[in-house]
Amino acid sequence: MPSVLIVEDSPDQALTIAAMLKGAGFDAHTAKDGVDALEAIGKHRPDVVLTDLIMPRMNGLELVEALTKQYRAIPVILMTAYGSGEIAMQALKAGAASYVSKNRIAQDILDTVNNTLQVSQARREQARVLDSLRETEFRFELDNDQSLIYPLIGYLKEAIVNRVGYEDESQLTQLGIALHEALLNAMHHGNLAVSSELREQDINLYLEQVEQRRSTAPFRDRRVELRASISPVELRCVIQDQGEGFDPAAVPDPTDPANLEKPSGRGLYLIMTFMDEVRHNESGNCITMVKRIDAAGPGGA
Amino acid sequence: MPAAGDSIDATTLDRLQKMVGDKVLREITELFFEHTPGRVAAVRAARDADDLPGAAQALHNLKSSAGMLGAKRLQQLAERMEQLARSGGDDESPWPLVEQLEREYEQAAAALRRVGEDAP
Repeated sequence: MPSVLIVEDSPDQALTIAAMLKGAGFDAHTAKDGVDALEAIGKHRPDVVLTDLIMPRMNGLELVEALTKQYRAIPVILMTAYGSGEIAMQALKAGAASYVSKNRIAQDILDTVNNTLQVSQARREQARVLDSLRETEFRFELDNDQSLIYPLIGYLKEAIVNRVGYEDESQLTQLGIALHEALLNAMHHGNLAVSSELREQDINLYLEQVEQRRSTAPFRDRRVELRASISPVELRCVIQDQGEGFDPAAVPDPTDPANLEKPSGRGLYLIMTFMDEVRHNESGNCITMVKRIDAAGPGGA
Repeated sequence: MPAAGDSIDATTLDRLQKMVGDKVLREITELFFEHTPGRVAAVRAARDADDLPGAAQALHNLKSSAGMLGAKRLQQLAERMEQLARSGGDDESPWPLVEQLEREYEQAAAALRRVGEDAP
């Protein structure tokens, strides 16, 4: 039996609404304002919250804001009336799922609650389907155009959020930074064969050479291939360029603090710090990076 | 269908009765009788103190409670007065409507009592 928490300061209205829902088979409880509601939710989590907007102590908007922070999964339906339109708009922007007009409450309440529950349930069902998703694969072939990197990272981040529900923003940012460094290495040092030493010596000359080689054979015809696979447990990226490669063993140890300040070591250092597994192929033109997806977040179980 | 006077919208009351049953409908009506006189009195007190926000708050609750029981005329009058109170009473003051609000409540309450007596 789905449970509904009704937050309403007017006792006769609270009883009316609770009775309407109980009559339709819901387990309905009431709270007289937002403060009471948060206390009740702490003890027993409802499937949906139905709230008035104008209440003493904590109003409907403040309640929506608090619930969005603490209990994202519980959908909130607003009960609106003349005089509460402005606050209702703000509450919808703050994350409320739907609303029902008190003027039409008897006609609309059951449909609105059922519909909201089904949408919310569908999201939970989707989470179950995602548990069965084994892998999603992407394959990109990129020109040596640095401006493609940020949008590509944005796309992959979104795919991770949507497909596996991973939303740790700081981890996603770190992942993006590692990808950015690896793709830039593949374009500049790999395909265009512009040396990282030149970058250390003269950044302007370095950028000039990058631009010049982007339109010169054989460099201009080389492509970077990114294969990314997303599964509920990991993101795996393989980045391959068509340059001559390098000897990975000859690279100064990026984890040695003495090398941290060198611009050329920074990329690899970030990659190794942010990714859980990093390796190069023998010829040095292909890097494989793995980020394990831990639902509990950094330091979690 | 419950028999109701013209201050009550029979369709709304009938729908509510079907949703909640006679027993709960009586409880809801009792709570309405218990709380509404206080709200009407709060509007009168707000008039005496020229407290428009206070009146708007009392009228806001009164309006919705009346609406749920189908007390249409009381609901409409409370909503009209709430609009006037919220707009600051500049164009028109809600205060001359206070007596009418009291009369509408008495009529709605009488009609709801009759429905209660007619019910099994």
